[in-house]
Amino acid sequence: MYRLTDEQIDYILDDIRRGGIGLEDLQYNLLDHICCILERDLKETDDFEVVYRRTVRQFYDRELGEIEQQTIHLSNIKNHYTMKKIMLASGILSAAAFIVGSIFKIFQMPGTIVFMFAAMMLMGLVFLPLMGITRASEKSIIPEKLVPLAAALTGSLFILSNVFALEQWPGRMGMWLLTVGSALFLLAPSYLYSGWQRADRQTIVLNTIILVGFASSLFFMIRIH
Amino acid sequence: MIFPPELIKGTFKTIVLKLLADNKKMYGYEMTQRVRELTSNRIQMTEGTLYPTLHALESEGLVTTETEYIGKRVRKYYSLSPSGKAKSKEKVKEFAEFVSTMQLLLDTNLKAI
Repeated sequence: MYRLTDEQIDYILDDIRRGGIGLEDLQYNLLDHICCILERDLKETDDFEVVYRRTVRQFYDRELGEIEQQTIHLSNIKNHYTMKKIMLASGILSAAAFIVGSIFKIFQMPGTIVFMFAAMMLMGLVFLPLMGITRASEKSIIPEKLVPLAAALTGSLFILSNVFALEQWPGRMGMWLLTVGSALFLLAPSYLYSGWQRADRQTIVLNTIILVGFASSLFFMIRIH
Repeated sequence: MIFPPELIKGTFKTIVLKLLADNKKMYGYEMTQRVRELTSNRIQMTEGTLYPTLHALESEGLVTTETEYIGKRVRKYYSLSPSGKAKSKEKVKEFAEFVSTMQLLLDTNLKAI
C-alpha cells in the first residue's frame, strides 16, 4: 500500500483550505478521507498530483467549498459565522485603535490614552473571548475545546491586567496573579495534554516550556504586597 | 444500476444512523465503503453529502465522536449517543413504513394499468 509523506499530507490540507473549507473539523475529515482513497489507489509509478486532482474532483459539483456550505446549512451553525464576523470586526477595530493611538503617542498629541484604552478593551473583552468560543466550538473533544478557551481567558486577563496597572486601579495585583495562574494551571496543562498524541509532540513540549517560562518570569516581576 | 441522488437524498441520516447502530464506531471513509459494499455500488454515498450529514447528526447530539491521530492526520470516529440509538430505531421503522406504503401505492397503480 502507498504511504503518503508528511509533505503530501500538508499539501492536501493546504489545498482543502484554499478550496474554501474553513471549518477545522471538516478540513480534517476531508483530509483523512482523501488520504484513505489515495493510499488505496496510488501506485509508486503514479503522478501524485494527477491522482490527487482526480480524486478530489469527485467530491463536488462546482467547487469544494460547497461541502462546507451544505454542512452549515444542515447544522444550522449560522451563529458561529456571525460570531466570527464580530470577532474579525473587533480585531480590526482594535488594531486600528492601537495604530492611531501609537501615532498620537509618537507625536505627543492628546487622546492617546483613549485610543489605547479602546484597543485593549476591544481586544480583551470582545476579540479574544469570541475567538476562544468560536475556536472551541470547532473542536469535537473536550480537552481540545479547553485549549482555545484557556488561551483566550489567559490573553484577556493579561490585557486587563495591563489596563488595571496603567490606570492604577485597585486589585491589579490580583489580576496579575489570576493571569499567571490561568497560564500555569489552565493553559499549559490543557495545551500539553491535548497535544500529547499529535505527531509534532516536540513542538508542543517546547511551546509549553516557553509558556511556563513566560508565566513564571511574569510571576517574579509581580510585587506581592 | 446506480440510484439517482434525488431518490436517496432524504435517506442519508437513516443510512448513517443504521450503519452506526450495526457497527460500534466508524469513520467517514469506512462508511462510504460499507454502503457501496452492502448495496453492490447501487447507492453511492458521496463525501459531499456524508460529512454535512455527520456534522448535522453531531450538532443534534445523535452521534458522539472520538479522534485518533495517525501521524499528521486526525481520524474522527463516530458512534451513536443514547439518543442516537433511539433515533436510529425510529428512523429505520419510519423508513420501512414509507417503503411498504410506497409499495402499496405502486401495486395499486400497477393493478389499475
